[in-house]
Amino acid sequence: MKKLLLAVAVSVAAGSASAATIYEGKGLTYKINGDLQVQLRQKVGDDKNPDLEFDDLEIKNYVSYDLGDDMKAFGRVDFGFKDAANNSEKAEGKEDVALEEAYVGLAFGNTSVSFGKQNFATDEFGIEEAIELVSDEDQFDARGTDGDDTIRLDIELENTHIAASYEMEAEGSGSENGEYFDLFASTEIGNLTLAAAYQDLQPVNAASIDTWGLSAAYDAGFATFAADYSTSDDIAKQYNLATVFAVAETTKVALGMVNIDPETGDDVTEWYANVTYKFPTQKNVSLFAEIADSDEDGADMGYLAGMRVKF
Amino acid sequence: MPTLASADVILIPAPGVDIVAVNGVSVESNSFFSDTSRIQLDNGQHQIVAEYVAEIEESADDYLLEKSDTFVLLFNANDTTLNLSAPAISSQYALQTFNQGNQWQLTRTDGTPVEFTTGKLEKEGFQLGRDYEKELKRFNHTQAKAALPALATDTHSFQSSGASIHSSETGITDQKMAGEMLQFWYERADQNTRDKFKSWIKTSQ
Repeated sequence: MKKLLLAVAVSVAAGSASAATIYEGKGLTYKINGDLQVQLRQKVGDDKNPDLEFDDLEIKNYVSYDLGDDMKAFGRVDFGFKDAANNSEKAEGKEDVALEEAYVGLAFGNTSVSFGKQNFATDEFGIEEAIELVSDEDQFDARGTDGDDTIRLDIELENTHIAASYEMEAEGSGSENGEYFDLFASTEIGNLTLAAAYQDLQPVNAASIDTWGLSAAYDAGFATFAADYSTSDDIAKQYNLATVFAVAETTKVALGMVNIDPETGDDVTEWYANVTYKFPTQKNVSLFAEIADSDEDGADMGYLAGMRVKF
Repeated sequence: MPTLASADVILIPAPGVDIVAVNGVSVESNSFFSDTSRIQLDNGQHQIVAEYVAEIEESADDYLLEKSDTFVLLFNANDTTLNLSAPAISSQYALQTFNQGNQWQLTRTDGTPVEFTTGKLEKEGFQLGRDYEKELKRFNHTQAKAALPALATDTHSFQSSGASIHSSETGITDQKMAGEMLQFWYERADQNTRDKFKSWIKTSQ
């Protein structure tokens, strides 16, 4: 899920490494990104036990060709290894390396159109700041925000981002998973960021579900405050509250809560507090810790601590 | 980082700003745990090479680290502390805009801007292990506004010694050997280099 920007700067200095641009010349650019996150975690819930968990183990490949006249062709293939790391070999079908994203597209200035396995437009929605969450991040996340047969349009302007996507039903094919139409728009007005999202889901052999959401984030300088609300027809309503602030040049703290109120049954509130430290000379290396709890019956407090390395 | 104990100009890169070369010399970062990335320079004209590493928001607990293009900045400064920063960049759009134009901000501590010229240091082909010193030599041979021809020559330019080491940092140097080395290299230098050296001695007193 995409968050609104909670832009509390954590100081970093010279020497930071970033996406490895492997080749750049004659209109061709090839980059590799990596993301490794390993953490000791005990989940929020009843009678949970701690274990070493792999959240992100990803290698992302990006290639683009400059076609001239401000036009570019691009492609991206992301491989994720976290299921292979998290699950024992006995977990049938879970030990494989996952293809997380695979798409190609064309960009015309600030507008791009892409086709393939990718995130929906509503994946951009949400302000939640937890490192890990037991609850769904928002109602779009609960319904699904990525697909295999997705066509997506993005328009990025100076202070505005508009996205639309269409996931084909692909009836009878291996990727059949319902039909989705998603819209997302966000805009920055001074220190305020506002966003709205809408999804029309037509599941296979079931009634359609409309989901919509609104969010706002305000950067007050010393901290960023944010809230979002999303609802799925006849299923659930949900809101998030979050704040992020820097406690030192290298350290930020996030506090937040999420409440889900289903049409049937009791509502559940989950809260979290986390701290992230980034090494002064390397913004791509961070240490983090989080505690979280929920008011669900029998739930015990959860915690995690870990390290993340990106390039 | 190059340091000079008697420095008159202090250059402080803002978070995310990476200075990779100063006056034709590549810069190595300090300790992994240190954020003292300030660079100390003599008064006068300086050429630096800078990049900006932006966090491009991609998902809730995810972002991409994207490096800007590599820029050369040429400026004059005397007896001051300077901050080098870039605007907040969190989207591909903002990064593209940054790469297209001159959005670097070089300011004194009171916020007043310092004039500078800028250009791009570009390398075709494989990007790993770039040799900034070699690239700068080529760049300084061009007519680019930020080029500093004095750094293009292989003979030492005694006036642009921003990356030189102050004597206090070489306190344990054998002075007898230093004297012998000075004499040895002076005798091996051509007349042009000797003249530059003499001029530097006079101006650095």
